[in-house]
Amino acid sequence: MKTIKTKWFWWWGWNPQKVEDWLEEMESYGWNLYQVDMWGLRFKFTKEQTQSIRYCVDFQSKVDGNYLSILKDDGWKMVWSGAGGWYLWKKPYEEKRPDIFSDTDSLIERNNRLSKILVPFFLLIIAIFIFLLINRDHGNEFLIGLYIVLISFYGFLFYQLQKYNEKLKNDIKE
Amino acid sequence: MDTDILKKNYLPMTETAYYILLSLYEDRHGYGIMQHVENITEGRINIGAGTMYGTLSKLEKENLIIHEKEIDRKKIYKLSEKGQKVLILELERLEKLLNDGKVEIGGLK
Repeated sequence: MKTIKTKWFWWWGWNPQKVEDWLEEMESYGWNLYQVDMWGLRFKFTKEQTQSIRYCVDFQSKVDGNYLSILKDDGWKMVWSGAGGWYLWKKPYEEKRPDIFSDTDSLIERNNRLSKILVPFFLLIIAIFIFLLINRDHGNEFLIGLYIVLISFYGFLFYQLQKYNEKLKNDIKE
Repeated sequence: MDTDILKKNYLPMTETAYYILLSLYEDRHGYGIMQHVENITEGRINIGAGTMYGTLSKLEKENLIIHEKEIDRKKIYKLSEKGQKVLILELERLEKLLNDGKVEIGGLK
């Protein structure tokens, strides 16, 4: 009988490297990933063989067949694709650890694509928030509170993405 | 198109862009370019698949490369006229760099 393990991994848009490294580590202990839920948070593994597998996260708001064919030709297998344009790719390797991005600019661009797609949602939330403030009557304090939490969350997301990009840009200069 | 504008907008190129444009002197698809670049640089430059896709999209948007056909959903790219001009300008620039270096230090040893 197969040994199965289900694990949750909370990661956010700004730090995909953590989930990439974690999955690689699991594979190195013999936990082979076989299923990811639609949100990309719950991962299922079977205990079979230790292997070196590189995982890479990409975000592409729109892709054509060319995207999939270039990655597949290069030996990458799509493990998961999620709402908005998240992709998780994997590739086994022996010596040289592969990567879907060979320069820092590509990573900065990926983060920018993510920031860009968040902007309309952010504006929508702010618009609703202002509407709630203007049409204030009792009973909507809870909603206003909820929107303050949402706005803070988005603000935090943008801040983290920005910080990550600043770090990447500094890496280029060094 | 005005040479100065091309120079200002596209030079100097990144190594990735330079080798992609070089490879597209012949018609190639994305993965074909990756292999070709790896061959001619003897493994020094490995362009990642995601980087390749992103760079091709950018170069196409700038109209430096075009694709006229697709085979098995793979876009086959080639240099546009503008792309050829830019590549020649970059080659001239690189040649000047190399010559300046040789003159200053008295040849390569």
